[in-house]
Amino acid sequence: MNKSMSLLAVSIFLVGGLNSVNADPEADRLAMSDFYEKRFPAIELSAHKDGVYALDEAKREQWLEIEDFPPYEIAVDEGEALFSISFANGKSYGSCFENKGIGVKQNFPYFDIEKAEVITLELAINQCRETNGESALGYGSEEMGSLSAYMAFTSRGNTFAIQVPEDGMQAYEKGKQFFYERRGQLDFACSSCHLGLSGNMLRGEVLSASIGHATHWPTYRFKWEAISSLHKRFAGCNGQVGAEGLPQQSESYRNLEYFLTYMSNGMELNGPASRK
Amino acid sequence: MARRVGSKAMNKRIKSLISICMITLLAACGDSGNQVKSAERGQAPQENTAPKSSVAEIIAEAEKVYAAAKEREHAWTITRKHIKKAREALSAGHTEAALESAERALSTAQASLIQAKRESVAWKERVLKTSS
Repeated sequence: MNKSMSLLAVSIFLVGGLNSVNADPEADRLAMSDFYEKRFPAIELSAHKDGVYALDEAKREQWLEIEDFPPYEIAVDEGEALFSISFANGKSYGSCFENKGIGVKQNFPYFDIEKAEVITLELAINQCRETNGESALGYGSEEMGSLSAYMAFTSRGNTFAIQVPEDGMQAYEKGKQFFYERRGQLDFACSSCHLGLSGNMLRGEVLSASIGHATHWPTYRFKWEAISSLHKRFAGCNGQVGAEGLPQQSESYRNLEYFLTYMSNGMELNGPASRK
Repeated sequence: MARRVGSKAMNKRIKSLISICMITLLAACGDSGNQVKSAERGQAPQENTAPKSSVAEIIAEAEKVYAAAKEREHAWTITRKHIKKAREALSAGHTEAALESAERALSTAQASLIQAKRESVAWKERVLKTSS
């Protein structure tokens, strides 16, 4: 009896395991690329780095005109100035990053095996400050927006090649779960709008594809009248469906960024950007 | 034949009378409902019919369920608004209004927790699969 029960338990475990979702990030990425290739056959996958402007020609024209005098330009200049300032101990941001912090955004986020957590660029900036005896910046602060804008600017044209080590699989899977989980009073998941309804109108806006969502941050949004992070956008999306947003750089949002950035692997970075 | 016509006319009159009575009755019911609602909204004695302690208990229960949903990162913004409204109404002595908000807070908190539990499994069904 005990033996048969054990066999049954093992069988249930095996069937459950086999029936589970893709446990391979590359399989997820290929499935998502395949989905958008079929959904938007006339649009190159790489074009989704421009978000909604890859899907709507009229909006693209307007956006390109805005890009002639980009609203994030001041933030990039301010970020460059802030980046070059020395800390009280004589060191600078450059001392904390590979290649002195120039052209490195494509390596973020990554999974830090020692700390067992996802490290985003904004988190790394604050860790750098704290290591050098400086106080952490607010994640919604102008300084953080400017520093990350400058670092993104120096990484333009580079491509994402995010790795998910075995130890990072749990964080990746949690990010994936967040993406597909329905939440809020409207009972919407990120995937509800950006997979199933992508390309459709939501009031006056066209819903963009998830692939490429990570390429252009930080972003100057006219709605915010400021440059800010992907996490602020996550919180905004959550709020729009009646779900309480999470703090910027919370573990769940970092995991979500990890998943989304992996989905953008191979795509070109084009941040900072401007959006409505 | 003339009799038949007469009885038809009579029946018609009776039917019309019944219809008028029913409409009047319905209108009166509707009006009395409105009167009750107006009284609830105003400062009539009905304002404080709900026991203050039970309203406070419902608010406490709503806060507890809301905290459980928040812990699972599934809290709804509407719950927090209803809890705030309920607390404010209760401290202002408007127990009926407080009760209404507290019940809404509790029901939305419960729905958000149900959603959290359901989604802990349901999300897997939505994951894109590689086409073979």
